[in-house]
Amino acid sequence: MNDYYLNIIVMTFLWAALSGAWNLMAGYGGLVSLGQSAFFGIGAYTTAVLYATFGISPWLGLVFGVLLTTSTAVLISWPCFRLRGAFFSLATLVFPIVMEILANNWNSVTRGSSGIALPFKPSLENFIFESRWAYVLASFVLMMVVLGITQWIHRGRLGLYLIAMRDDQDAAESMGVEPVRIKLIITMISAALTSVGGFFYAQYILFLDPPSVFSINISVQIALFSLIGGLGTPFGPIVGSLIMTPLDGALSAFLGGGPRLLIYGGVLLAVVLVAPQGVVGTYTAWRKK
Amino acid sequence: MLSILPQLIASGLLIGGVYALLSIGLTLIFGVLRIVNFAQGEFIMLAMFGAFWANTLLGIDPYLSALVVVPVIFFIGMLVERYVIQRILFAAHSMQIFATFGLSVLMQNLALTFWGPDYHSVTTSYTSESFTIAGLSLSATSLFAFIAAIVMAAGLIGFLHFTRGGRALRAMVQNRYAASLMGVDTKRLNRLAFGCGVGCAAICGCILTPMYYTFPTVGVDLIITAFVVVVLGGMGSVAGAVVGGLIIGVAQTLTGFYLSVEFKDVVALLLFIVILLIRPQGLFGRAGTEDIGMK
Amino acid sequence: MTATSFSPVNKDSAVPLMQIDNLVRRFGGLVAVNQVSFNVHSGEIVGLIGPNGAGKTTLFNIISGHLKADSGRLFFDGQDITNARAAKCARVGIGRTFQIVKPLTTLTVHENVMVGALLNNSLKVAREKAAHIVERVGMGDLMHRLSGSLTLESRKRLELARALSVEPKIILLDEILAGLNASEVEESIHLIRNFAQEDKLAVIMIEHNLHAVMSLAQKIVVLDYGVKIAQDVPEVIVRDPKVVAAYLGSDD
Repeated sequence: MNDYYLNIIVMTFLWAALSGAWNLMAGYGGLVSLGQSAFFGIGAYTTAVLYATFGISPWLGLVFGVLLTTSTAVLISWPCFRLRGAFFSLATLVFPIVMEILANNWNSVTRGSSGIALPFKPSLENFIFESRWAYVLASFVLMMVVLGITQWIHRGRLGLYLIAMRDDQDAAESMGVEPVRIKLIITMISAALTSVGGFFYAQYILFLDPPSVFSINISVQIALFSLIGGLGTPFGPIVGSLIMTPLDGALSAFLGGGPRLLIYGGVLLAVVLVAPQGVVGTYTAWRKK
Repeated sequence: MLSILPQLIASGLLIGGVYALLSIGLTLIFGVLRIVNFAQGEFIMLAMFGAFWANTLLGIDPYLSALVVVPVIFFIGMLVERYVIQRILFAAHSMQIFATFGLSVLMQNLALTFWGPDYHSVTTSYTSESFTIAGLSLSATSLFAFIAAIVMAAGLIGFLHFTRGGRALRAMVQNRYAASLMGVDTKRLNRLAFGCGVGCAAICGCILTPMYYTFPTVGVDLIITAFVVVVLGGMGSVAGAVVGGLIIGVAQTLTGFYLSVEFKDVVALLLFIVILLIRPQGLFGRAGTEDIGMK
Repeated sequence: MTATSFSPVNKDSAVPLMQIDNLVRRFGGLVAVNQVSFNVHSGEIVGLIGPNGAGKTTLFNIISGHLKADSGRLFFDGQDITNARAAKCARVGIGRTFQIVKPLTTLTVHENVMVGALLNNSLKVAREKAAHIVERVGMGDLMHRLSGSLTLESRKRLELARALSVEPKIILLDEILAGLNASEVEESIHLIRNFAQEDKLAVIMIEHNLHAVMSLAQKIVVLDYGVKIAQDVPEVIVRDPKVVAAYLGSDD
């Protein structure tokens, strides 16, 4: 199987994982973050900087990236929790912008707008592989981990608390649910998983610059895939990615940036207006009849 | 260093007027429909392009083109309300967000696809002109923008307080259900409010055209600032949008001069975090209005 | 000022379970709750009545942690929980229903109750306990029905079940009988009395249905314009001229 198709498979799994991480915050937690690319970028940059500039193993970079991303997530989202609904989302739009400015200007560390190229030294220790199949496996594992965590939350205490909070925060509070604590937990999990996705991206693409990892397009895509597949369901993001990523590959090849996003915007609108429950949701509802 | 302070404040106030202009439409739509219009920036962008094309193809002055551009966009706004907004008014918050956000992405990329990514600028006879009043140098375009903002705000406030339609809108802001019980045609007024909201954006766009670059993603920059202004001023408050805009304008000019140019961009965002922490409802908002969707 | 009437239920508990001490809450110029004080003993059923707008629900919101008091203190089970948040109040043992019912619509009846049960139990145990409570309130056949599709009477029962799910020592019932027909009211009265006796629960109930309050409550507190104007056993309250005037002078 040639590289082109393998790449599509890798990206499908990666987007499914990223979308799944977002789904935790937005679908289960009701926190529609439009700034996931901030977490993605921090994870990617941490790994890249530590590896390319300081020669530190990306596995350590992964850990650091997760820690850094999670603490940043807590710091910036905590004051925003008092904003509900769309205002929270508007606030989240700001973070990737700030991160991108930071990345562009902190030249000593991030090499500014020229970006970082990761040296191609394949080894398990460097998490860089010659064969794409290794990446296929790794991205598959990541996707399954996200799925597993989602299922665990879905069936457990956290899942119930999240849905309760989403349905009626007052009622949930009267039964002992602490909204801030719950929101923090789900944000941390979501940020951590997204950061891992960033780590993977850095070690796979081997190049990143501020626009490629902090772009709003990443946030749009992540949201769109979950929405199409089914927001708030464990398999939704996977279904969405399975449908859209191959399509996206074709679109990119034929159309290029503007029209591609044009279609995304249109699809986003269409899904919201016509089938807000996405594929999984609509299927589940149809099954119940 | 201090002698330049009055000039800085004056410039800051002028730019603040522009920010106020950006935000008034956003806050109006939120006040009446309880929806945050993520695509507000894109309506501004549309107007800017309208003014740009009018100027480039027909030689019409941007301010003058407002006479046509604004009604057209008002009309587009009504259409959007009818076919998109109306259908998500009672949907889950996440869906409302996706709808206007999707609209924003759609509009941005429509512009990108059909008009290209290039930055355009419109220069008119008064683009680089400035007036000297009381020893202060005020750029013509900023001055016009400032005056337009005040006039628009005053007009809107007057409309809201002194006309029947305006009072109906205010009733809706306070209590939609009660208003509908009292015979207020909420559906029609929703459409009107949305149309007015994007109409304000259109006015803003025409005014901005001579002083800013016109390009498809200009809306993104603008909406962030507009949002900060609305949060600072208080959601749903037109007066708040004006005051908030002026404050942000002055704050930016002062930090830009006394601290550094890079800080200028960041100061609005910093202010935003600070407001969130100490007074989330903004200056003129009622406590709790940052929680939309509450009873 | 605070005339405590001792009824047979609480003769062995001298320290009140809940002490409401001079709570005040203003909204702008309006004083919704004005120096209200009274005590509730373990196992006692207290009726809270008064014309519309008297501040009863506001008082509930303060006691259950949904609203902050401007001044005054609140003691519960030996702790000072003044201005504690709602989740904390639930944890120390205060359960409540809402006047405008708030079912968690995308969850089933069982799951609704499980949320509260999780406060003190593991997932597995919470599942069982929640099922038990659902049975006790007589909604066993609706166990797996989506709460968004319930009738008003069932929703009210659900409110009660949820209030009980946090294993409370006191439950605050806000007009839980409103909108029910006569037989539903009788059933609910029966239910409340059973729970109060079996679980040794204290109850504060806001009610406009005076017959129900009379048959359930050992003590009645009357609010009017945010002020406590009377507190006594039901038989005395009903004949108190101040109380009668408060009701006749209002739209109720």
